Amino acid sequence: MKPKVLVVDDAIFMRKMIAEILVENGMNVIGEADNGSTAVERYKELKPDLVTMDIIMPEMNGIDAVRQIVAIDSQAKIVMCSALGQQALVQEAITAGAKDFLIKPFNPSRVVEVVNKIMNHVPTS
Amino acid sequence: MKVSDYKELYRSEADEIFHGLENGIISLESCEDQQAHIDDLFRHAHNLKGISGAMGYDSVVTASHAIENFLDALRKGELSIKHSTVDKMLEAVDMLRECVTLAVDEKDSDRRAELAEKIAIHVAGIDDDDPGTAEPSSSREDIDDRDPEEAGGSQAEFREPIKTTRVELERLDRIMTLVGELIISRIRFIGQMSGAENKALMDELEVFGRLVSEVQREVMEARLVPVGQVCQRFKRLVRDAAREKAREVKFEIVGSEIGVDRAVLEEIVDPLVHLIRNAIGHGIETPEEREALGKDREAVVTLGVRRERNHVIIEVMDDGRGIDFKRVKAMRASEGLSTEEMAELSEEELCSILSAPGFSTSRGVDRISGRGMGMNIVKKTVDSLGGVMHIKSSAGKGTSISLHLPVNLSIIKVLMFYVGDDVHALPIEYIKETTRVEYGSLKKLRGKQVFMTPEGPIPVIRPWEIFDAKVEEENGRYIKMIVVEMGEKRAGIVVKRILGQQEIVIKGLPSIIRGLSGISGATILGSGKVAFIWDPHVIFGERSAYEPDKETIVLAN
Repeated sequence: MKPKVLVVDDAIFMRKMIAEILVENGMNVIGEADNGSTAVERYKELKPDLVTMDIIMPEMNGIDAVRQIVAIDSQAKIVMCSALGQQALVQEAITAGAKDFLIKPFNPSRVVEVVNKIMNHVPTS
Repeated sequence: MKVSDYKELYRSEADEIFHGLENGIISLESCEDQQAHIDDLFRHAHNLKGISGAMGYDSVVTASHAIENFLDALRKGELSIKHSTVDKMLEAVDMLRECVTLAVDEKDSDRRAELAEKIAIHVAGIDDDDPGTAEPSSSREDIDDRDPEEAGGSQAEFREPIKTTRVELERLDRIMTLVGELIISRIRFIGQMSGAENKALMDELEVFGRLVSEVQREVMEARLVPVGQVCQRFKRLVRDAAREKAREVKFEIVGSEIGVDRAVLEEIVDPLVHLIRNAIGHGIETPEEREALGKDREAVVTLGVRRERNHVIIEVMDDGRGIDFKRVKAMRASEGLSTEEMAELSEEELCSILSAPGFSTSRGVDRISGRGMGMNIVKKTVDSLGGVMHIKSSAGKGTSISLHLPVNLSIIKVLMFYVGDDVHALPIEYIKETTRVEYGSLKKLRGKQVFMTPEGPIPVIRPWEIFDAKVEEENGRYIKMIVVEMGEKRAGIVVKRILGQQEIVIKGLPSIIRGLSGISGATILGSGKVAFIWDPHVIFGERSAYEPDKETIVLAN
């Protein structure tokens, strides 16, 4: 069974790009969301195995979305997607329950590495 | 997805981001909830940085990062929004836009780097009273840690249905043209079938016809674009024009959600720009004058859109001084109209005076308005779209100019026929009937050929008498005619072959033939051939077609 992924980002461009990297590497992208609150709804609805989560988004930001998703499902596997220079926010997200992070622009091999790590329950360094 | 696909996606997303940035910046001036706007702006700048990074557009990354930093400082309250802040931010956005355009076109990387640097210095200097002296150092950051590798290959598959999609407008136009062709094809089919007595087949054809019409309606609906899409950009226009003319203006948009065919919308943008500029440049008084008159210092300019059945009414209103009708009339008096004649000028006549080329009550020409050509262009555009313009104005209270336009006006129903090898078309509403007349029954009346009907003689006209078309021989007992009716006037146009009725999308004519009377537009058939749509006035009008010795119009080559 291919792992099911929910892609969250407010830029269509970014969603398409990460979805493509994931699909090429054997993932099944089952849904997208363009803000935090939609992401929470989608999570409840779709029960994905993995979520990629942007941080800066309208309505609800990625960190609050992580908090809400983790509150629903403490086992949720969420990878933060952030730009350079947002270490503080990434740290906050990890504290909130995110498992790892990716830095934009995405490097496909790094994406795959992180995703595989999480899916195999290997704790990240 | 290929690199070029990403580029398209980037382009459209960047476009939206720029809209968001401009509107957000302008809202900073007036809006109470500034924090929310700053957050939005930050997010837009941040997204631009993100997607530009993915495309490897380093200069855009640097520039948007600088803007992001500035917005961040603004957000944290380290900087305050001054009057000049908005102007400077808009300037930065303009430079950023240039940078993005160059990056997408892969042009002039030196200029790009230069722009990025300029933007960084510019935004760093926004909070200073003396811009340009600030160090851009705060906005530089190492951004080389990237792998510009492009992903390629298969499309993502989503089990979740995607509810909307973006379609290139050209593709919609092509679909529309094809639907038109489908309708013609059906008409030809029925033509071939006539005489055959296969009822089942005819029934099927009818179902087919209904389906085609439905497809056509759907495509037409899909072409509708909310007026708001172009209205947003007027906010900037109003702001700049008000600044330049030292007016205080509040701009309101009502009904921006109303949909209009996008071809109409494209045509109407320039006229609206003109009307809005006019309102600010001519209509509105200076804040001091307004105060003296007991009005609010701040004038209100409203862009109102509403739909009335098949028409959309776009109105530009201001609460300024109104049109000086005395002056309009005085200017006409010099042309020899008597005072009585002047007093009787109707709204319509005033309207046409105001929109005559070169007419302006303004004494000076400036960047905003005043050359006197504008209203003429507005009127011409509205005419060409088959619309009407109304001017209402009352002294001291303001002016309202409304444009009444058909929602789907780029689509008309025509009867198509052959002239030589060319396809011509006449709008269906001017056609009374098609008929067949015995050649021998034609009479001569005052030197002109006519055919007799119970309602009186109808002049016979041949296309080559109007246009420079090949003279066709007439042999045989009967001639085929399209009887055209305009008000009281009628004429029979001799045609060899009638192709059938169709709803067509009118394309603008290339400028080389746009000025010619007689042709109101053209449409491109699926075969790639151009069909010319007659302006029925050419058959009657001043250029009476009964006098074929007048100048002819070259249609082909």
